[in-house]
Amino acid sequence: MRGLKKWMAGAFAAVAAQSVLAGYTWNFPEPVTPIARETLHVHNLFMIIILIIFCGVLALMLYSFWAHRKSQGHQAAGFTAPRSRKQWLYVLAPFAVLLVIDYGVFGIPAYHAVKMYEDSKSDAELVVKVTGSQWMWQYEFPAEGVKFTSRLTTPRDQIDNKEAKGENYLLEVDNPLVLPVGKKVRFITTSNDVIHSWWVPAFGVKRDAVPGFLREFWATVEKPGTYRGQCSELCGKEHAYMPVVVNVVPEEEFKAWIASRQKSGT
Amino acid sequence: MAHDMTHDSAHAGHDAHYHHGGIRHWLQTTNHKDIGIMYLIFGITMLLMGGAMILGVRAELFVPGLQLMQPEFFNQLITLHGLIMVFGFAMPVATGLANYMLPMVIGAPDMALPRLNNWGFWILPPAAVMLTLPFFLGIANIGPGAVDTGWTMYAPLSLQSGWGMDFAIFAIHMLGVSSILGSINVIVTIVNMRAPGMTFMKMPLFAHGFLVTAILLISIMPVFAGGVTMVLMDRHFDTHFFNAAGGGDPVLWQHIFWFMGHPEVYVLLLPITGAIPHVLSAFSRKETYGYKAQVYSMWTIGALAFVVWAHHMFTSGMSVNAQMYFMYSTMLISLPLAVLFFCWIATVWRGSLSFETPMLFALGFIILFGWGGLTGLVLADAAADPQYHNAYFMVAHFHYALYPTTVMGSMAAIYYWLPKWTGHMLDEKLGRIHFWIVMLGVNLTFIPQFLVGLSGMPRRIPDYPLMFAEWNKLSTIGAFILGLSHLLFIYIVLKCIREGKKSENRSWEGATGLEWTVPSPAPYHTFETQPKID
Amino acid sequence: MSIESKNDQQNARLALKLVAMVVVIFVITLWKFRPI
Repeated sequence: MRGLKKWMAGAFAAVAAQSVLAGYTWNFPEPVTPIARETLHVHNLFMIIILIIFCGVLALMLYSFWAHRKSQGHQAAGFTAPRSRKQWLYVLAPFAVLLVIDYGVFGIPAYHAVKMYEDSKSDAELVVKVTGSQWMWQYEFPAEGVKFTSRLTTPRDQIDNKEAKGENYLLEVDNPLVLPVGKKVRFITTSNDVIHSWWVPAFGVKRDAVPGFLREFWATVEKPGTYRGQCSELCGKEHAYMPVVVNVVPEEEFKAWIASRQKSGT
Repeated sequence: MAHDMTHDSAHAGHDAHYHHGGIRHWLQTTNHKDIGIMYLIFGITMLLMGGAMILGVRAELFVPGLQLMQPEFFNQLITLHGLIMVFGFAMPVATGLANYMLPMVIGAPDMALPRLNNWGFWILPPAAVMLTLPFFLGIANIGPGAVDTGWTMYAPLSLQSGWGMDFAIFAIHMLGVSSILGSINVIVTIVNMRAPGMTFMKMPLFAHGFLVTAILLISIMPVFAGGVTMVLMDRHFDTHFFNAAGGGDPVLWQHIFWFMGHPEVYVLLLPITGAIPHVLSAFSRKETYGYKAQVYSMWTIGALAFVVWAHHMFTSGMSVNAQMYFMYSTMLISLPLAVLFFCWIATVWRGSLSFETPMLFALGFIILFGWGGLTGLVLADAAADPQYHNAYFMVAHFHYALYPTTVMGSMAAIYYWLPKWTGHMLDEKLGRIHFWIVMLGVNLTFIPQFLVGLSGMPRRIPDYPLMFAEWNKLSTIGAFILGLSHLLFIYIVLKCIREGKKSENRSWEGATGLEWTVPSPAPYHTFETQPKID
Repeated sequence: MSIESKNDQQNARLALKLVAMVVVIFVITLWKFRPI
């Protein structure tokens, strides 16, 4: 029995690993910011709860379809409302449970998560201005005097199926945003033309870039690496072609990169 | 409306054939059954058109890269798909059901304002032409194509579009007027024309569903009309409602749109919540459970619908307090909705169940819409929502809410009342096949979309990074299966019109309601003398 | 007047009240959101 369980666990892991490799990813990517971690945790919890509710109610219904069939002679009952006190308890209990789930299990962590998500100003160590335009992102470090555009570099031939697609098809740019690991970064977004939206799934943050207005959010990326995302508000014909690429590097490397950008005058 | 006996006998010979008659008859008819049929035919035609468009989209999304079309065309397809499905299919089909059945279930001879009813319908075909003409012209290389901003038409993108946008604005005005006229008719009919003795709390749930829906519509459509008028003015008359440089705000459009857009989803839902209890009760051979609770829930949902709109805007940069308010108020709607689910399931529970086609679709609606509703709860968390918003998780959520409701729910109602309309019973074998293909198609189309959304795929893109390929392929296959099922639906309906076992007055053994006291097919005029209800 | 035409009158009156409500909502929307 234990051997069988072990085999099944192994098989499941192998299949899961294979699916991830094959592109059958089915959940948020590995979280690298406090917000992303909190959101992934909340999401997993929510999904398990609603799956349990769904499966439970479905099982009840399927049981009824089987047990209460006319073809097997079941006679219809006559009730249209709860009558006894016990019945009232039956009826009100699911709603009490739903209230607790909504405002307790979901609602209390959600309150703290929203407060955390919106806390972009306190203790920010770096400010980045993100400007969306049709169809690229511009990044600016106002305090450091660095400014540059970030455009998709996937060749048109790949898009038109004339050439094999590269590994980072539609997720590669000429000038990625570079950020220091472990530092709280305050992002300010705006747009030059229409509404765009900046999203990096691994960071757990998305914010609209609204023309004529400034919006803000923050992220502290805890792990170095290259993180990719895409514009998330329909902005015209090349909406699919303005990705976000962020290189998160140790602080020394970040300082060196800033310095080189300052020298080259962009 | 004088309906004396000579008038009746002149029509007696025509009862079985009232649906014949030339173009002039159909252009001028004020009969609620005729107008109901026209709305239904129009709506189902739009379902096929909107469906064909999204199959074009899914075909493009079958593999990464641009195979079949350029993004400009893709953006028109997704926009028209949304607008056509909401305003061209779902609402007209609901109005068709209301027109045909509302007078019958309340024992009235016709709708309150029959000529207005005719006008309300005939606005629709020109509106559909207005909306789609730029699309077809664009294909022929005339003009810039149809509106291409997504059905949400966010500003300032809407200010950039070609004249397809202006055509869409006029189409929306026309569709709005049609909805408003239809809603006024529904309200006046229900308020003034119930059979004597049928108090508000005795009228069928079908009527309650439509009453709440109609009140929602006359409240939100004028606001939407105001909003698109502002877009028109910004585009052509140098106003700056949505332009920051002139003192306006693009996000204002979002507020106006969603003030309409959120109640709109309950407009799509409530007629079905009105119809489904009839079907459940009939095939459970059991009285509807919790009539009063369902009535109060419908009204509560209607009221709450107005005050939660900004949960569609969590990433737009709202204040913390606004996010908190809209998050908690949105969660509140799950309670009256849960009441409805409870009552539906309690109606079926310990009934004497049979599973004819209408019942299959009604039960399928409950199960799949239930999943749609549960995934909405997840989206309500304002801090987690950014990970779902404008990605495919959200698309899957609202399709699990919309398809089971507007398509399966109305198919349940149509299948339920078809014997009353045609005089023939359905081909149950084909109906069962239709149902199971739909169940396969819906889940195969949309479950992969939940997963690819969680993996990070945004919506409204014609091309995507490689890691999203597998789920997209599956979803496209599901979509084509689902698409084909609609052809089967039409075949079943046409077959039922032509032939089938003759239906009794009471087509279904367990069916209750005034409509089952008249012959099948229903005479051209019914309840000219209103029955007395005790 | 006959019962039928009295009913028609009641119907028409209610309908007109609802139309008025619709127009008012439309006008309020445009007026309230007019830019300064």
